[in-house]
Amino acid sequence: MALDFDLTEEQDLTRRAVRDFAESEIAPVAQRLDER
Amino acid sequence: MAKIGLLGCCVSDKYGGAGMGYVSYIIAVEELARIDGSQAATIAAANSLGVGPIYQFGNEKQKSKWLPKLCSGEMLAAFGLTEPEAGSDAGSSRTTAELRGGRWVINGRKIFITNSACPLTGVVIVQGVTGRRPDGKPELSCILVPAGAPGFTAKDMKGKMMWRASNTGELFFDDCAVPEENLLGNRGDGLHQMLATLDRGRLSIAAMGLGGSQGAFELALQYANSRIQFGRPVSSFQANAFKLADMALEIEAARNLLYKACWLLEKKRPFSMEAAMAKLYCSEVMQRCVHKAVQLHGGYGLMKDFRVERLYRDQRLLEIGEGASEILRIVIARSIGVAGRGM
Repeated sequence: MALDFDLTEEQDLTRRAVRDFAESEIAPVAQRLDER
Repeated sequence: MAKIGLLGCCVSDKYGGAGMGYVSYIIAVEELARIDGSQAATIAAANSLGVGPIYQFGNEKQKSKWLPKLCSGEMLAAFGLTEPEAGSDAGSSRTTAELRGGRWVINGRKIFITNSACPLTGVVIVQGVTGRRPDGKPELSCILVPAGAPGFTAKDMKGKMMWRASNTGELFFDDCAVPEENLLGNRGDGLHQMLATLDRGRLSIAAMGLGGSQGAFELALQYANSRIQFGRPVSSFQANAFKLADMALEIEAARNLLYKACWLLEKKRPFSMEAAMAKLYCSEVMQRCVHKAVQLHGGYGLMKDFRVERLYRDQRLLEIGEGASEILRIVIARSIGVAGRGM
């Protein structure tokens, strides 16, 4: 029973929160910041 | 990023951290890297190289002084290890710190130090030679040097190929004096602190390789499914379908290897070899993924208007920083019992 590939609730929430943040806050400005 | 806890991911809430587990932190870096290497690098370095050593090796006074400001994003910390003459051969460090009248007097240079030369940089952890050990080898120690300390200057390094929106600095110490109490942990612990910091840091660089691979794969799949040539999507040609299949395969293997290494860390089991394997594998998987992703984009993949162009450049550091691929293969070879030291 010990082998378990499910993410914990914390791990899953972290993935969703950071994905949302990266897509909404970082993606729109990343190219401009790269070119400075 | 501080608002969602990304600047003190694994630090207890006592010091203002988010208190998350190591796997969660690695997932956070992976998700940032899926979109942008520069922001992922800033967070990975802030947590693994800045906050990490202070949280792990600092005394109560040092932790209370620095961690709340670091976790809130008020300031960044950096870890100064690499020198112009001491890269992979970190033991040949020439920066010295001499105890004189209750102060550490530091002389030397550091180079390629992430988060070390921006307006937010508040403190740099500097590894230097503080004497000789009984066996004749240099005694290494880490010392906290606040921004603005007399004799300390940091210069922003411009003109990078990759991570262009992250800060990289060159540090100069010219009779830089800081109080004796700025010593991190014990005198002579520098080598151990460095190795432990790098073992953990490698997992976050691996996460950047994994996230970048995932980002490149998604862009390539989307593009190849919508780009029509010869009257059909280019993904439907077997030569291209196989590229995408290989990317998905390697990403799955990379993710399992990296999460396993983080799981070992969370279980407080030895993880150095697995961390070296994960960093080596994830960075090389990303190399193959970005190469295929640009190929699938054709001419558009060479243009800055297409995100895959930036992923292609941002990958290159991963095979060099925090243990070059050649050094990691040596770490693994030693771990599996290869005879002799090899170097």
